[in-house]
Amino acid sequence: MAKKLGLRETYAAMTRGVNWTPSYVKEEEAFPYHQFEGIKIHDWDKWEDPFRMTVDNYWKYQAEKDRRLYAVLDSFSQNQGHLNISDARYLNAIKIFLQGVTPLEYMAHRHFMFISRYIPGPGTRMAALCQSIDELRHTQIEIHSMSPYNKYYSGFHSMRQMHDRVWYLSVPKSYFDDAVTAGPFEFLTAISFSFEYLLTNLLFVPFMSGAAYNGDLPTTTFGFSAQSDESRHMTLGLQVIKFLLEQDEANVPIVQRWLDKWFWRGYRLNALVAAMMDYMLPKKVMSWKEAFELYFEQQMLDGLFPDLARYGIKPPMGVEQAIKEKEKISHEVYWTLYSFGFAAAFNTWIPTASEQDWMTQKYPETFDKYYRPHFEKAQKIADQGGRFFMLGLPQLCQVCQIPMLFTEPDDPGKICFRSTTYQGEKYHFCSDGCKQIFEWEPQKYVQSWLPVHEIYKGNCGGPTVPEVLAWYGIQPGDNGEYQGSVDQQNWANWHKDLATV
Amino acid sequence: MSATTIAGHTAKERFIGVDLQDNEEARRIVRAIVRDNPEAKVSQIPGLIKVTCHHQLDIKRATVEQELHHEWDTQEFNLIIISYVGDIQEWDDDHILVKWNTD
Repeated sequence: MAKKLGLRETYAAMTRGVNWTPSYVKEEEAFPYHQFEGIKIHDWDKWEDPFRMTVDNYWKYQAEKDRRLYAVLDSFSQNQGHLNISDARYLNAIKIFLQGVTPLEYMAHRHFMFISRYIPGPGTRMAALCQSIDELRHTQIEIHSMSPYNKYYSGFHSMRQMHDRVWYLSVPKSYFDDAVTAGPFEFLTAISFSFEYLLTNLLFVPFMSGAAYNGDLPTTTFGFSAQSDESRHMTLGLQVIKFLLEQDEANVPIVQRWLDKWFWRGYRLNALVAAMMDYMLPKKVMSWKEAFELYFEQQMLDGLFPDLARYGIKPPMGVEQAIKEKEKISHEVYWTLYSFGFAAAFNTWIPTASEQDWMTQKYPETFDKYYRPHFEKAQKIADQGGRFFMLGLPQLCQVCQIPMLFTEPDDPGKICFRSTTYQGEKYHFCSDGCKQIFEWEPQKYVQSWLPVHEIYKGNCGGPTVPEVLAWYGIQPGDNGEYQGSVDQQNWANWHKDLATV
Repeated sequence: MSATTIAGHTAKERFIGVDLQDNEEARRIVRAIVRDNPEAKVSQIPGLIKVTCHHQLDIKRATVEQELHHEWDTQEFNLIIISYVGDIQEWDDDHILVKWNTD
């Protein structure tokens, strides 16, 4: 019997070995999209994929991952697992995940399918094909993992409609729309490298560990199942960057510009994750600041960037500001979500006394001085039977679409406003980074679908809050204060037999 | 490049590593990693084991098989890996090597 092929030979046979040169049509007709961005590729055979994933192995391992996951989901549902999470408050982070992230997985599925069709290199096409199928799997396993909660908790019911319409969800939506409307190499730099390699650990690793700590079996399980694919996606991202930089020196400034743009875009998107991590996990694994220091500063700035320096690549625009902001953003974002919580498809609350003490300990420079006073004010109102809401609509950043809530890098007491004029119109930004990104491509960002503007233009169901909420698909109980909410009352009721006081 | 040129950032010693699911299979594989990479540091957060090294991390099939007491295909590593830091330099039938490209 012939000896089985090794990994290296199998990979070569199943990628380059099944590639062919088109003869019925010209090469540029078969692959029309890979040149207009100015990227120069001389030799696609220089592409290396260390994972050496081939179709036969791909199905084998993905099937095993799914078998492990669905066994867990079955036992979770059979055993009323939802009663064993740390607290019903926790699930609000998972609602944001379902509304904000799951639809992005689907968009990634679509666009990696496009990449796997239109990039001329067979190795790249194979990696993109696997990733496309992965992303569809992630969409499905996330929906399946979270659906057991939909039977018992509010806010899980209309993620597709919400993703397209709700104000805070335009942040992730517009981020991905920006990527899929770019050229193929910019898309790969944006999603495969800047998101998957540079930043995704911040979303998936400490957050999924948080799910594990809070007893959320389905999320931990799909999270780790997805992350096992994610490691392969990280590799694709790093390969893309190294390949582009090694192919031609002229690619270096183009890649640097994309890196500058997409680090800042991805980092701003992660501001929502910062708030989820610090405020929505009743049992906490690590603070946003600690996660940022480990997964970004140590692993990327100290680890990766010295490797990229030999190509002439510098750490991206805005890194210094991101480092300064690690003391602030989770608090600034959560306070905004709390203030506008009447229009969100999840509940918000004042952190408990012990949670606020944890913030003081984790953020000694900022929490007591700048953020605790907000919650003390909100508590005073709550003690009188009220609830603090900001009744009005926030101004949004034209690029990241986050409300203007971030403060000046060196002054946590002052909101940061930037603006520029383009063709006689004034545009507003949350930061120097977002302003710079606009100025690089104003024709693109003048088209932003800004939820607040659209409400004022009459495009969102009507002029009143209840009409807009109905148009968003938000049902009574999904939104507003957690204390006294449907979820809180149900949770108290389900656990009343355990009450000791 | 000196990372210390970034304002507000204190550079620490560079490392590479893998984040693995905290399960029985992974715990045995971690034992194999530690045998082959004596400088490896193992730490844990809920659900997850983090293994880091300062220079390189080499996961060898032969050692993993000794710890698992059965045959192990290096691609089965796909089932337990959550994330990694570094650059995967080699992944073949015998080992998986993670390191940076520059010292």
